Amino acid sequence: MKKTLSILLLVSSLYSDAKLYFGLNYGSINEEFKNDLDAQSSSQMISFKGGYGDINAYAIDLSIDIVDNKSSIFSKTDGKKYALNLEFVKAFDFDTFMNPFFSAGFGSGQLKITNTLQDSLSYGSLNVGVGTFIPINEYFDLEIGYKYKYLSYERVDTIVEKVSYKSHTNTIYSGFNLRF
Amino acid sequence: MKLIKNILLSTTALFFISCGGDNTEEAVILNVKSIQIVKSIDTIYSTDAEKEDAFSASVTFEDDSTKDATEFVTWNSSNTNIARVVKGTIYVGTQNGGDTNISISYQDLSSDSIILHSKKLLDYNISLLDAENNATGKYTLKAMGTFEDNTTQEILKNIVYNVNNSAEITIENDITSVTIAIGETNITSTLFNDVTMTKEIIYTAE
Repeated sequence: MKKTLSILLLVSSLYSDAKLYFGLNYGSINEEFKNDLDAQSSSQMISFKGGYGDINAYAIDLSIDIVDNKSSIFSKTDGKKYALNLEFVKAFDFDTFMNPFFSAGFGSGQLKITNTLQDSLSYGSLNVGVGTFIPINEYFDLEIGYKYKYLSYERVDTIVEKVSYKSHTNTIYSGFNLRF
Repeated sequence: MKLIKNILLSTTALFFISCGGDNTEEAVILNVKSIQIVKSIDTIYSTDAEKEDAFSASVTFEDDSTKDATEFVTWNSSNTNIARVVKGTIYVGTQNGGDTNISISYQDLSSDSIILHSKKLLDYNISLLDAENNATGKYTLKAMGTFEDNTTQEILKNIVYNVNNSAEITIENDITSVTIAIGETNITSTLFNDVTMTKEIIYTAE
């Protein structure tokens, strides 16, 4: 019982100044593949997010990425990428005009392709990021950051072989958050 | 405020710099165009043993390159009582002669079908090889059949032997043998579970 109370107190203290927030980010994403797949992709990304947390401490962040994929790697016309991410954010308050943060989490997404045997490829990702919030006032802050993702795609089926491709993505983005 | 401006300007500059990355614009992964049967036979006999590598299949990609897909596709037979194909090997069914359509498929892809004809067995006889008069021992049973195209061939499938007395039937490497004990032994064979295709040998050992 004491342990439970202690954990609840700890959690409540972590979120003592927590707020619900919504945000929008826009960025540029570069993707490079592994597994001897000589391919790369450079695209723009928009991300809608919502979360709950303290701009000076901890937050849980749920985001939806829409990547306007410009490359054609898996098929003649690879389409957009959609991803859902869940990330843990730790921000710091150094009594300056900005609050640096780092984040870590995971996600999953889907890439539209136009192959005979597959019309989409699912993928999972491990995400880490760094950046900073720049509070303008109590309810509005700007955000700039960098995010790294390690992606593992669903196996590509060519009948004679099924290969799972991996990639790294680097994203630089900026955006804003509204906190309530 | 000035610092905020500087940061935003730096970020914007970094953003535009990073926009200039390369894009791969030609699919690196080969897309499947079609699958087809590339090697086949059109005739078998209804009592043939398995025929390995009788069929093969290939996949054609959009750049017109091909790869062997015999082991990866699903082989379909319109009448498995006549014959079926697994990874290119033909297995005769339990029906005496007829036609079946063989095709391949993979997910929603399928090939044209080809007709495989199984020759019908018309008559046959069985014999005990190297059997010495009235001696006990282990003898090989052999069945020879005459088919619709008047060819004569050894029967390797769809034949069932029965023996009475204390004789024993053994099958090793598709060779059927009978071990005969003292007394009168009736050896009967039936083809395709058809009682009209039954033959009998009576052998007496002392």
